[in-house]
This record gives sequence, structure tokens and C-alpha cells, in this order.
Amino acid sequence: MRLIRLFLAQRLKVRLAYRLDFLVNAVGEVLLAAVGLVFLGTLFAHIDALGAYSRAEVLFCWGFAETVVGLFFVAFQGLWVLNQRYIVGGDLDRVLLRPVDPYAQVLLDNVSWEDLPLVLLGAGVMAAAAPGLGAVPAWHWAMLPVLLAGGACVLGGVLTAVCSAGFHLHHRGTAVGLVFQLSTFSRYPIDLFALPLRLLLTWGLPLGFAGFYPASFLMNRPEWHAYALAQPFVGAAVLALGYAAFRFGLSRYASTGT
Amino acid sequence: MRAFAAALRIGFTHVFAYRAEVAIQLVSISIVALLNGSLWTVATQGRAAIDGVATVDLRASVLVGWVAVSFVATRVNEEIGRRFRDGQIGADLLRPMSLQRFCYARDLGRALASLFLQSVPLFLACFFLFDLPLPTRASTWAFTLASLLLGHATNYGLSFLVGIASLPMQNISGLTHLKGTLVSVFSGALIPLELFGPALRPIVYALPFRGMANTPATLFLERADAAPLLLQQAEWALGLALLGALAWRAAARSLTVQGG
Repeated sequence: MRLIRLFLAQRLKVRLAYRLDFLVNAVGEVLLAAVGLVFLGTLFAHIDALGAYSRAEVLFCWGFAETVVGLFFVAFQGLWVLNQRYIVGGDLDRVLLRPVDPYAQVLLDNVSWEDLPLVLLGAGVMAAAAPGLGAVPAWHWAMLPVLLAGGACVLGGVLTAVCSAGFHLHHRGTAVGLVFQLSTFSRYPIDLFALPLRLLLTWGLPLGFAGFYPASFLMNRPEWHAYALAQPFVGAAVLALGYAAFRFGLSRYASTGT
Repeated sequence: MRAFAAALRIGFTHVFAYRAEVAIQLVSISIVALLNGSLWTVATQGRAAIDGVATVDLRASVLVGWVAVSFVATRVNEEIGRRFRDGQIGADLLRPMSLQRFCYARDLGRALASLFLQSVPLFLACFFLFDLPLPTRASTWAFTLASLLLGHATNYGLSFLVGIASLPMQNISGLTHLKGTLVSVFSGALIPLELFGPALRPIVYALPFRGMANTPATLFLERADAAPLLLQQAEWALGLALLGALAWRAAARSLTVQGG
């Protein structure tokens, strides 16, 4: 536990050493993320519902997914550089020499504090949209932190599994961005999309559990609540699977010797 | 001219060396097209028009605009930033053509290759999934192609300036983000520019970003006269190129390359 704290503090210090860079990056990330908001804003300036979903519901779903993505970026940034820097670049050798779990090291060494504003942006949008949602029991709201964490675990687990393919393929990790791109769909109510896509996002790459399914728990949409209740378990299972894939890949790891 | 053609060929063939990456990118931009197409389909269901624009047109304009972006997109800003950082720029100064021309030729070659490998397949996918209209006049194809080339030149001009800015600013990730944001919002590939409302619309139409998606899409869908739109694109492309040449001259003068 103390070790985790030290890692996190160290990471913050590293980033704050280049203060302007840190700030510029943070602002840039928020700007890019806000494009989605401009899109929704323009859309809802002209129409008042997207399919069967109200403006508040769509915005809330978007805010929820944005918060999840922000949490994911903060915690799992290491995945982005796993292939390039650690496997192909050989930094993994250094990690393996230390008596701490290598997966935890890769993640903790790359914690990305500058993505925290994304979490705030998402939370702000959720807060703004919340009053317009249909009434749900209060304990549903108490579940919100669990659902958000579960969402980040889903994203993290799926992408850990994809990244771990790098142990076998020695690729540069571009497929990671592709799978991440798929998660954009979970920012919107899933039944707006065609059935094959829905099945893929539920049973194939369960990215629907990183956005719409858990977000629906706070809307008056009982037809999706079973999915939402299953979400924390899905999150734990997917993350465990991702971790197993990482360990399996590690067991086959042969250093590139650089 | 021979040097230009040679650089163009390098850019063109370079793309074929990274087939897997091209394929991955194609899937990636198709995902975005599928998302936007689906959203606009749902959003416009049961409405004939929004703000006086037929809803079918809105969807087509966004999708064709996105196809156009797949052609005009460039990462030349990152490349120039890298050349400054690793000192490659020293060798660039020795070339018989200016960096601006050399990078343009190479990037044009790359874009032409991606026209066949990405833009055309993406267009076909959108055509079958979302029922896009095809031009009725043969001249439309020529206008669209001209517009795409000008759109690419405009985006190149902007990216070149961002790249040059890495010399005084050292880090351009912030500027790159900013440019990406502006292009996403004001090009018309994500949000139909028609929806910006009467107050904002004239401003948005006057910006260079329109030429990267909305203009080629408008011409392809035969919704306006070609001449004034192409002229506007040419003005931006030329103006940005001149600005880039000036910026490059100023940068080259103050440049110190570390030996090694």
C-alpha cells in the first residue's frame, strides 16, 4: 500500500517537472473530448430526442462514459506504451528485476494525472443532466462509484488482453487504439445501433458495460437494469481475464535484448 | 519538377510498406462512419427537414465529408516536429528543394495512396450502408477531385505551420490537439455546418476548415456552384502556403542544429 502511494507521488512529481507541458496536455485532452459535447449540443439544438431517448438521458450516458474513459486513462495509460516501450523497447527487463507485480508496475509507472480533468468534465456533464432523468431509487445513485469503477475495469481488462497479444506478435500496438475506438459506441444508448454491433459490444468485446449499460441504472429504464447489475461482476471478470492474458504473455516473454 | 515527382513517389510507395497499419486505420475510420451514420439516421428519423435542410442531405453531407477527411488528413506537423527534435532538419536544409515543397510532395503521394486504400473503400461502405447519392453529372467527379486536392493543400498548410511552431514552442502536442478540435468541429465531417444557425454560419463558412470536408461534400452532392467554392479553397491553400514559407524562412534563420 505504501509502495503504491510512493509510485503515485513519484509519477506526479515526474509530470510536474514539466509544468507547462502538463497543463497544455491536460487542456488539449479536454478540448478534444469537448468535441463530443459540441456535437450533442448542436444536435439537440434542433431535435429534442434521439430515438426513444431524451436529451438528458443521452447527455448523462455521454458524461458517464466520459468519466469512465477519464478514469481508464488515468489508471491504464501504461497499456498505451506497453508494446512500444516495454516489449519491443525492452524496458520490461528492468521491471522484471523488481520484486513487485510487473503488471502493477507497468500501470503505476505510467499513471496519467493529466487525464483527471476528463473525469471532472464527465462528472460535470452527468451532474448537469441528472435532474432531467426519470426517478430511480436512491440506492441506485449510491451504486454510481461502483459502476464507474466497473466501467474502467471493463475498458482496462479488454485493452490489457489486446495489448498482451504484443507478447506474441511484437507489433507496435496500433490495434489497441482500434479497440478503444469501438468504445465510442458505448457513449450512446446501445439500441440505437444495429443488432450485430449490439451483440459484439455485449458478448464479444463487452465495451457496452463501460458506458450505456451501467449508465442506464440511473435512468428509468428497467429493461436494461439486469445488465447494469451484472456490470461490476463483468468488470471484475474482464479485468481478471486481461490480467491472466498478461501473465500468460509474460510467461512467453523473450527479451529483445535491447 | 523531377524532384517533386520523386518525392511524391516516395510518399506513395511508403504507404504500401505498412499494409497492416493501413488496414487497421481503415477499420478505425469505418467505425466512426458507422457511428455517425447510425446517429444521424436515428436523429433524423421521421423528420423531412431540420432548419430548412432535408435530413437525407444532412446525413450524406456528414458521411461524404468524413470520407473527404480520410483523404485530406495529414500528420505532417508531427513529422516536422520530429525533424526539428532529432536534427534531421540539418540534412533537410541541404536538399535542392525547400522543406515545405519536399514534405508537400511526399504527403501528397501518401494521400493519393490512401485515396485508393482508404477513402474509396470507406466511401463504398458508406454508399451501401447508408444509401448515399451518386453525382448525376460527369463534371462533378472532376470538381470533387479538385476540391479534395485543395482541401489537402489547406490542411497541409495548417499542419506545416503547426509543425514550424514546434521550434519556438518545443512541444506542439497542445497545438496539435487544438487544430484537431477545430477541424472536428468546423470541417463539417462530424456536425453538418448547415446546423450552426444564421449567426454563426457565415463565420464557419469563411474558415479554412470547411474546405477539408464540407466543400468537397457539397460539390459531390451537387448542392452548389463549383467555381466560388473552389476559389475560396484555393485562396486558403495559397494563403497558408505563403504564410508557411514566411514562417519557415524565419525559423531557418534562427535554427541551431546540434552537431552529431
